[in-house]
Amino acid sequence: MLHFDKMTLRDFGPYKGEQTIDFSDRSGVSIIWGNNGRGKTTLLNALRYGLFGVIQRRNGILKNLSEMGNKEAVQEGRYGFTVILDMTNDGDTYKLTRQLKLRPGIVKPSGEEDYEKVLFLERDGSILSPEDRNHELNVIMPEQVARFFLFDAELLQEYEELLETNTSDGEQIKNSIEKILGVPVLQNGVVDVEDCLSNYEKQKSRAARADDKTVQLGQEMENLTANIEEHQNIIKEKQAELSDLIRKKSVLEGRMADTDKLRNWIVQRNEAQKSQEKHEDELETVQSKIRDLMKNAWRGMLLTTVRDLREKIEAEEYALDAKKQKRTVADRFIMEMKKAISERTCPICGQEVSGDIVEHLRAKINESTNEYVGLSEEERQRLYDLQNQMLAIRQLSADVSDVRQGVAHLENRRDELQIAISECRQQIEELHDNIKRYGEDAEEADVLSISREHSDVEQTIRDVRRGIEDENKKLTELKMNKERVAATIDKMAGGTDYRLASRKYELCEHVFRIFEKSKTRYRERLKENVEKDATALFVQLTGDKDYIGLKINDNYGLEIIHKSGRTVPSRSSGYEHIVALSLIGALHKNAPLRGPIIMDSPFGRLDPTHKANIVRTLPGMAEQSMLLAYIGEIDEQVARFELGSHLIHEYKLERVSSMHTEIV
Amino acid sequence: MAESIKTIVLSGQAQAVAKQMNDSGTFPDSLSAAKFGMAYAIKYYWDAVNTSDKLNHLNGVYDSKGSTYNIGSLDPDNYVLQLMEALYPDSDTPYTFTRVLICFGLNKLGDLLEEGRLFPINKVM
Ligand SMILES: Nc1ncnc2c1ncn2[C@@H]1O[C@H](COP(=O)(O)OP(=O)(O)OP(=O)(O)O)[C@@H](O)[C@H]1O
Ligand SMILES: [Mg+2]
Repeated sequence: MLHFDKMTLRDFGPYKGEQTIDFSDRSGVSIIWGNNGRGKTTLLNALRYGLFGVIQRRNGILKNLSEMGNKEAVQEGRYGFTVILDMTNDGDTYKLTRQLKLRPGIVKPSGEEDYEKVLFLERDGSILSPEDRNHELNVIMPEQVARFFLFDAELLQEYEELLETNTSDGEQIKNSIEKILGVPVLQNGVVDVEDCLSNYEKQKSRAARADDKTVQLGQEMENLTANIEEHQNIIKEKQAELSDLIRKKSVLEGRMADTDKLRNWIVQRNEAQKSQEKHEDELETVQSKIRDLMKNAWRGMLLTTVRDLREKIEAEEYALDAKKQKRTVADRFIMEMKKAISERTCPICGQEVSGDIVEHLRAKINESTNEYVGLSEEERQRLYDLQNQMLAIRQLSADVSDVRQGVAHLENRRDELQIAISECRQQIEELHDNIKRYGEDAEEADVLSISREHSDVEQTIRDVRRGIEDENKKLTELKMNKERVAATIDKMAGGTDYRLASRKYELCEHVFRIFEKSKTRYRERLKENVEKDATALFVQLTGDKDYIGLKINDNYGLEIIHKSGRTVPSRSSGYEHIVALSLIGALHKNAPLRGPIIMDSPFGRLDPTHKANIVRTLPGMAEQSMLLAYIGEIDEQVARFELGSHLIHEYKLERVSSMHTEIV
Repeated sequence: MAESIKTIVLSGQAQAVAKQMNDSGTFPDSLSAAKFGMAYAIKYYWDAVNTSDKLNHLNGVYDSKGSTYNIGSLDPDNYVLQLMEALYPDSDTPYTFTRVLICFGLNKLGDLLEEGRLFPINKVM
């Protein structure tokens, strides 16, 4: 069983410099998280390049491999790239190195021809010869079946083709399926025997023509055979045409998906720009409000000092005032006493005041006058000054307020806005990168013309298919005619030559039948197993209790069975996806060839329940699997929970620049 | 009013701080930043500037390499004048003291600016 231990990349696409991704020798699932344009599909391509030397782009195979060299590295004078795969297969360890590098003597390439391709394969430490190497690689992982190991979820819809008969795309997938299941060994036998059979048939009609009695029938037979061949050729041509058309259709569909993506990105970018502008406007207003407040903020800051000052003055003023007040009270009392002395009557009770009391009063007056002297002239002045100062200080706090709270509030808002703006900027920059990345395609991608072209191609595809059907009908008719003629000849011809030819033919036909029958048996059994395993997986994956299983057709197309026993017509694209995954899982179970599964963005169309179900079943589908997902494609917690101890590694594809991603 | 000056001149250092504060976009002009400096000195460093003697001494310390401001625009409503008279009743050089307080406060704010602690400004108000 094939197992990837680690992959080392040097200047491959956005993977600048040398970067290694360790898949570990344990069984389980690795998740590689990366947003749009970080390099998930590129990782898939790195594996594909390592194994087969080809790089697949959305619109076909990349012709100029050198384009894959990291652009920033090129600016630094490094050209080309390297992929090194460390793997094990059935107990042997392999180190596969594939490189595109400058030819000796060249420093700065002017074109593709200045590069050379280098390939080494080490098995258990020794380098294999080119023949051994190619053979070994083909055994480890034949290119035809790669689609079941390295798969791009955007292509899962291809499997829908399997439900239609006679499409060359479906035919191609069917061939891959049979290849991974090991059918071709028998199939090759069938084809060889069929070749012999048609040889013997020719001999038979030649013998019939040589015989007088059947000369005309023999001629007819030969004509029919030629005619049949002609129609078979027409069908082959039409099928090739159909293949081209279908390829064209899928390129157009890719473009349509791209323009959808593009349109979304543009909408998102415009929204981000709008909200950036809105935030910037508000920021401007907030800043100017801050400036307004800050113009007189200093006055507010002085309020506490002014208050302290006022309190100090008040205290001094109070003391002087108190002194003054006491004197006033004393003065009134002295005045009364003085009056009593001069009038000799008490001002309160009106009685006469005696002489000794007068003496006593005089002493009291003296005493009081000394004790309550009142304010000195300096103090009087001081009090006056203080009163004036007080007035001035009151002025200082009139109409002044502390704006600290207001400023704090505005500054918080300003910080929030600045963060929001820089988030918008970041988002716009990323979207801009994405848009630029798809921009080249998008220029031609006048959306309308693409969808028009798409429906034209679909129409042509329908026409060609009808043409093939017509040809097939004619072919069947011709074959029946031929059989009839052959039967007549058999009855009429009696010559030894003819009988000999006829016996050889019959013998060969028997062998052919045996081969065909065993092939059919083998296939039937495989199909049953695939159906059974796919059903088991499907039931695990689907949440719908009404769907009880899958039914396989001759092309390995799978239809959903409703609990009523009927098949479910025109399923949704999400279900399409789930069915395709079930098929792939089942193929992995039944294939003699085992290996890891690497899925690129497989969750796009699925709801959270199905996402979780798929993650849960992943460890059971293959011994080793890798999930390339954009952040948020599936909830990280859910993924970790569902995988539990099957989760070996999580990597993140981090952006350094639009041309540089780091695996961390 | 004994003092009859019509302008004040900041020290070169203080001027630089006022300019940076103004450049931050938080103040409408460097004069507001300067007055903010004065208030900051009075509020948070009163012990260092609470007597005429201290201010007279500092006045000799600061150079005059900064910008010149008109008293008319510095103190259009005589608020600063009254404040100075209230704080330093024994002095008759209110605007000389104003200059000293501005320079002192701005220098302290300059320290905060260097350490990156001046903003958010409400924390130092
Ligand atoms: N030669 C190169 N040098 C540097 N960067 C490159 C080079 N070729 C492609 N890139 C960049 O590498 C990224 C390849 O993106 P890729 O298709 O692998 O991303 P993805 O993660 O699959 O994105 P999506 O989620 O959109 O499918 C793009 O951003 C592209 O600009
Ligand atoms: Mg991708």
